[in-house]
Amino acid sequence: MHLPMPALLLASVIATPALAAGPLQVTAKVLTEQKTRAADGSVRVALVPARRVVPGDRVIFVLGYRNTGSQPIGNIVLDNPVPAAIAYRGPSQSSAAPDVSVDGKTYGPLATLRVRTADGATRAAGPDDVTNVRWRLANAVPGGAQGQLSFQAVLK
Amino acid sequence: MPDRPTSIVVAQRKPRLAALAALLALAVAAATATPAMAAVPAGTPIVNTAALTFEMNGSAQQVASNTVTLVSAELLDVTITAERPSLAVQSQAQVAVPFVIVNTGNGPQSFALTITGNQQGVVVDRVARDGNGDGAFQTDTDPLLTPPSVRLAPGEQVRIFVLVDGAQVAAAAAITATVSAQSGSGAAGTVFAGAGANGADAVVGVSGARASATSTLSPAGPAQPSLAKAQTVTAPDGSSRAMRGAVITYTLVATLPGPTRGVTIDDPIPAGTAYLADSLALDAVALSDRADADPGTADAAGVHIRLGDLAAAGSHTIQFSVKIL
Repeated sequence: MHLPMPALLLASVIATPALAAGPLQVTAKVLTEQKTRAADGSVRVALVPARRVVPGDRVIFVLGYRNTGSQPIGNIVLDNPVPAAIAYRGPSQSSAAPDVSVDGKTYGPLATLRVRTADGATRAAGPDDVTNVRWRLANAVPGGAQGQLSFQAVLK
Repeated sequence: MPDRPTSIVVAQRKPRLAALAALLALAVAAATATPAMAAVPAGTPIVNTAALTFEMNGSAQQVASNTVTLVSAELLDVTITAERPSLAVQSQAQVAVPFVIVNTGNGPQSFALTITGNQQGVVVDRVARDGNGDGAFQTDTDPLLTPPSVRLAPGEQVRIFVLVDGAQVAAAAAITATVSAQSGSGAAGTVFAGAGANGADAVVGVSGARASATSTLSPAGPAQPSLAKAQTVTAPDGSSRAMRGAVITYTLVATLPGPTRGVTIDDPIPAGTAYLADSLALDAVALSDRADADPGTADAAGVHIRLGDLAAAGSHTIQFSVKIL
């Protein structure tokens, strides 16, 4: 099957409801830190689903995937465009480091990317420049397996 | 070398020059605070959907995640700066004390102003907005704020003037302006449900959504009359050594920064010296030692110059000589 890519994408988007009926499911969550002060004065930080965020708040984008089928699924790529109001900060401690992009086309470690400046020169990309975050899973996901990937960001 | 303090007695005329304008001209430089990264406006939806591509049965497929939508709440933050932390006040003149308020939150917000003075008698009941942004208060362009409050877009700044009657400022007076967000203020992180822009929740930022600044007013103008004294010594042997018989010529320069009334300059003759008769001069014109029509008199005790009422700023030079005994 050699459909041109855009047509294929369009077809799948239309054909697939947000929570796919197929064997691979992906769920997105946005968590934020909730600090609670205990009676002894210690501060406990819990991650809770973000409901109320203000500029400067740290948020964690979590992508969970699950193979609900019985066959292994390979070449899994998760791509999360970074919303415009969000500034990427880095991978979460518990997560594999993603490749990032500053233009939605070229992906790689942040240190390898450059951005074009107004005067035509280029400069090293910084976390604020990141537009897309992407993980390629090296190994096929067996039937019934699941995993979670996440990155940290801040509300601009 | 004997050199006693010289006294100058000055009664100041009410300043007719526009002291207020001069003071305020300095306030033109406005603080321009630009946030490093523009804050996301309150009420902005933040929509996130991830895409997942994979290969199954030899063909590429794609699924989208669920969509998570967050709405940015309103951050309540504000700063206020005293543009003139210390201000010298000419009595009787109206003084406009400038403060700059910046809405550092991410939503349009009204900020209530409270003005307090620590000195009894200094009553502040009027606050004006610098309508034309020129840094100087004018009644025709800068409207009074009643009640004192300003509404600011996110990132917007405004200058306000606290209007004080300079005649009431007898000693150093601190004028403190406090701004607080109308939606609420308090400890950082306090939530006011539904109090933000378009019904969004409002969350107090690090400033506590409240800020204060103080400007200290002190009476009298910064320009004071001054008197500078210099001397030259001529010894009988032609040297400038202060020896017996040497003549010391004193030069006094009185500088008056504005119209001044009742100016007199008195300088005692230093101990161990004797006034050299007929050596008194004012602005290079010799004056007699006698009390007569000219403004100077001199005797063994000291020299006295009566300049009287001076209509304008200026400086005058007095010279006289003494001999070391």
